[in-house]
Amino acid sequence: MFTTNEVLPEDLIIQILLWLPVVSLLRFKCVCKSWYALINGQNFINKHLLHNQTTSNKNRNSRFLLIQRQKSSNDHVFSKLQYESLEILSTEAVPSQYSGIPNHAAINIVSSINGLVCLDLNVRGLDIVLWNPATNETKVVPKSGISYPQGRALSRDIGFGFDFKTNDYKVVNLLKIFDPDPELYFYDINFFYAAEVYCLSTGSWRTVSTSAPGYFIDCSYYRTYTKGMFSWSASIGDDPDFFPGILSFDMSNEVFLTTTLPDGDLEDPNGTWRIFFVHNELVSLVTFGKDRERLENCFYIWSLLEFGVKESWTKLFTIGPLMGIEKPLGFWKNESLFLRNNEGQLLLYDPLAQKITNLQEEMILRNMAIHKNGLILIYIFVVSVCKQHT
Amino acid sequence: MKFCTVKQYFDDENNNNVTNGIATTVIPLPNKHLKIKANNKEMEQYEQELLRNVMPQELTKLILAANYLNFKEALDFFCRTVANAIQNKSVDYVRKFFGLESDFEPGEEEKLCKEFAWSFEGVDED
Repeated sequence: MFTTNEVLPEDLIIQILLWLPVVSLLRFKCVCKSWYALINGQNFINKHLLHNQTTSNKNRNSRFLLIQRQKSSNDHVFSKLQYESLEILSTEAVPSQYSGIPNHAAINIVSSINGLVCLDLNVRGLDIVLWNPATNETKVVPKSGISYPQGRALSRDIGFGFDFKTNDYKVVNLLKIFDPDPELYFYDINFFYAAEVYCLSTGSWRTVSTSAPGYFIDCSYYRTYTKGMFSWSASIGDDPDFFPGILSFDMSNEVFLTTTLPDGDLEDPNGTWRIFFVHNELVSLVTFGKDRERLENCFYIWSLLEFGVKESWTKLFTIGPLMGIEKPLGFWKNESLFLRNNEGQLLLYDPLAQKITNLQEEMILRNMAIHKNGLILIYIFVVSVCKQHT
Repeated sequence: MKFCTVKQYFDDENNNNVTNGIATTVIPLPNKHLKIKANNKEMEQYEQELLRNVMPQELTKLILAANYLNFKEALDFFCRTVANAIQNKSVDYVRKFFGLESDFEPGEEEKLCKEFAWSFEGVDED
């Protein structure tokens, strides 16, 4: 029988709560004990996440995360941009325990999964932080503490991904172990390579049993994560034959894979830049020449269809020639490409209209009036945005 | 398929679960929905209209009716409408809306509010 104040059963309350943004959900934890338990429950968190990932909701709830350093104060700030409109939703200083870090410190986004962002900070050694921008919660990943009989372990690079089999978030640390004995000549020093994995569920590190390949990791900026595979840009091969490619780590099976670059990849006599990012859930490669004057460049875009299979690199398209572009940063919707020009400004290239828009002037600068006089974009994290999720 | 429950409803004369008023709102929805399915703006306008003509309490009944009739699109639609209506509201408003009472210990609730103090900013006045 209906009364005027019919209380809704829990499953229908869930149906309503699924549509709410994180900020409202956090507040409504205070409604009553059962709502607190409900919203905190892993079951609801998973449902809310799934709900936000359906195609109709996905872009509405996705954000671009931008790290910038203010020239004036040298403080690092994070900005969140709405995916659809590129409107700046908020700008905040970095999580408080890291404010006031020195100028030379680098903050990089490793990857973002289900709303959890992994940051690596190089201040006094390496700090790894897991951060949820929607709830403002941070967690510093503890140091490993595993010792190796062969000597000292140094981190070459890290990755952050999701293990579908165990439903667990993992941080992987690629290590180089060497004997720091000062008596040894440089050429006598032996290097060993190892890898460690940190599981969020256990809160501890362990060594990966499969051997870590001794490849040179090229550059931390070009790390990618997609569909359970974390990849680094690397030089693959045995001394003295090294080839550019990617080193990938399978988060579930905890094995390494390598993929060299496609035949027909650009080799510019002046040198070649290679950048990787994720496009349509595939690891994608952009190559372009290192023109000294940086006057004009063509950008060649490829996507990798299958890890470990060099022949599965598929050329998507060529952009340009374009003038004054330092490098592309990643794709937006409809194959529009974010670019960074030589002045460090953010541009948007529309390949269909063949038009370039300077976002700094149109949207970003206007909204960031307080940051005028020097936005240094040190990193844009595109595509794998932080999704709103408790 | 989705209308088998509706048919059942009409066949069952002693059905008290769905009052007539609610039925007249819910049942025309499939046609409306199909017509304006592709157009989000129109859907938003229809949503606004609905909110104006229907009291919040009625929305709860609409949800129950849509659930009983096994009508997913209407259920999603009404739930989303309620969510939009309460999104920026205070904790007290939400309690009144759903007929709930705080069962926290005196200190507990304060502690919780402090934990997510920033989520209380910009909340609508009751």
